[in-house]
Amino acid sequence: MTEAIWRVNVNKQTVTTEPVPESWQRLAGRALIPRILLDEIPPKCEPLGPFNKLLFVPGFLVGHMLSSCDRISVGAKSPLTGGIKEANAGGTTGLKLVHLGIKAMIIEGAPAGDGWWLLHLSQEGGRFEPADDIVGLGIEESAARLREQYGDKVGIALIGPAGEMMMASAGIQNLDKDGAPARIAARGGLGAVMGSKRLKAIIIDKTDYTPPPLADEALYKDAKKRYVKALMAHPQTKTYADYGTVAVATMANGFGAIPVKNFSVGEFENIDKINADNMRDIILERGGDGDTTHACMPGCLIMSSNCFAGPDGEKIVTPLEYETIGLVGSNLGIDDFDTIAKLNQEMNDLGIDTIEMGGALGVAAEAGLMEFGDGDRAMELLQEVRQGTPLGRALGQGAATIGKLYSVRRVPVVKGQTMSAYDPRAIKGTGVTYATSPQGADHTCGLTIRAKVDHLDPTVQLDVSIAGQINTAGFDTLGACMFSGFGFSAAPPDTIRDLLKGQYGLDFGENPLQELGRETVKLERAFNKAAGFTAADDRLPEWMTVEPLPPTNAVFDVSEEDLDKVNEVFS
Amino acid sequence: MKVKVRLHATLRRHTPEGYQNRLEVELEEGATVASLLRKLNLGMEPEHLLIVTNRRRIEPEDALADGAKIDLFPPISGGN
Repeated sequence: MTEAIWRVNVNKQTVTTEPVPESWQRLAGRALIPRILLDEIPPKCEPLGPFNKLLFVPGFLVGHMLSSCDRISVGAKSPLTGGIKEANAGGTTGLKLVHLGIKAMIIEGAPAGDGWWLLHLSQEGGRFEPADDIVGLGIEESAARLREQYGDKVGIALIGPAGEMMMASAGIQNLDKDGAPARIAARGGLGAVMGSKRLKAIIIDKTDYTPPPLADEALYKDAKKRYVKALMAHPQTKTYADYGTVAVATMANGFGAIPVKNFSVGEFENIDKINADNMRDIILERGGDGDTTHACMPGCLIMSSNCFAGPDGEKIVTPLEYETIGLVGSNLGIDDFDTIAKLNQEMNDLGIDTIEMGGALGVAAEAGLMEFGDGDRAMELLQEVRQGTPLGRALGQGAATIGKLYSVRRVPVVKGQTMSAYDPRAIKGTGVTYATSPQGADHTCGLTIRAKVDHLDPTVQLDVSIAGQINTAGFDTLGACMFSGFGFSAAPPDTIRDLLKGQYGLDFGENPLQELGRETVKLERAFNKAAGFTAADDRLPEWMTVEPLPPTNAVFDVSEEDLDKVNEVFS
Repeated sequence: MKVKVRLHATLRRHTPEGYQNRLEVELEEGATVASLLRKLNLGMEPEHLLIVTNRRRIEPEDALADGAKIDLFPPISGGN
């Protein structure tokens, strides 16, 4: 099957296919998003207006169930940051889009009326169907009804009430391999962009396995063997399977970098209650639906996901991950997994980024809207979001909006986007990433916690952040989970090059990861520059440069000269 | 001299007396992190471990002081 661009016009309700333009052929996943937006939208356009476009772009390696390499990149101009946005997710959306022969899907235009629609994609093409009967429903109920109607083998990407209300914290949920609507392209308000197109859900009706053709099957299979062997031999793979990302909690705490009570402290007094050992013990003891090891994508060998069940053994949420434990747990002064899991599931059902909402609730607590540690009040505030009350809508716009509304100075955002669960004063390389990534504050754009540097020394952070920014952008372009990185880096050097050559017959040079990663960040920065961003946007909030973070008492003191060098590297 | 060691996540199952995550280890004066790791015999290369004391990363060649508190982490990183 030849790869094609599928173009969806929500105004005319048409779906057409086009050949892939030559200048797009050597890009995929995260890298293709800024290229398409630079080519097709005015960079200064209104993110929720008719000129913005919502893109679904699978990574290069998607389609063959190569372990941890079937992720979907979703992109648009962000209503949260006003800049470029790519958020990627596991699950089955990427795999099924590729099996339909889709290189990229471009959703464009402005809807004509007030109705809500489903987009149905299959080998026969695409069509629109009314969706008014599921509007207002949460993600769980919407997905259940859609699976009943279209069968339990289809892929679904959908928005919840937050996306319908066009909140800047809204993401796009995708089904995992078992049909749970829990793999969210979370960050930057892409759910709001989908809501602005009045699309409640996309049904990907492709149930048979039709991987894309291989240009050189022998080469591909050999490279695949090398990668899988290195991945399985790496001790990281075992750690992720047994503990998942929650194992990071004690590590971040050990560096004094876990967010506590709206990023006011870096060490959590009750860390032992929200660490990996405790979570594993609870899951195993309760049994039932709980599972310490779960794969979000078919074919994944790392299986870092999990399912957290209540005392009755019934599922509360899948997955429960470190960033949520940090932002919704310690950041809100909440120290028990049951409460965190329930808040997480409520956010999932609303279709909301847990990092952004955790950040917004932390600022809300500082503003006096809740007491730190009060999970019941946090849940009440989420009901305000669901009901679309004025306060709920303010929270739904994210931490920056609620901070402005209540005149809170301590707001942990860059480019309007909430920081992940690493305080940048104690992990300063990640602070450089937060400040300078075109995506806004985001650990998946270059986390440096494992870099071999003193995280408190401001003079050694620039290079580790740049290396991280390039690497993660490279993996996002392949459609690879960031955890596959250990496998790829332990595999022989030509493995990624040979996988790409084996699949496409294209040679991406000595180091495709570096080249694709660098090209991606360059394109993203070019988009942001055209949208009006300047060096002043590549900064952490001022309060983090003057307010010491206990117990290290560090401030963010990487020089402005170093921060500005990032732009030189990528221009 | 003695140092206090905390083992995190998968590492806790490698301890000499079975399943535990807090240990006190007797070492010679001036011992390095590498000698501590040899004694613990965790079945993992030092390069894969992240070793933290007093909220800073330390490396195998670094010397340890009496009473130091050491956190050992297996290879793992974040995600949401």
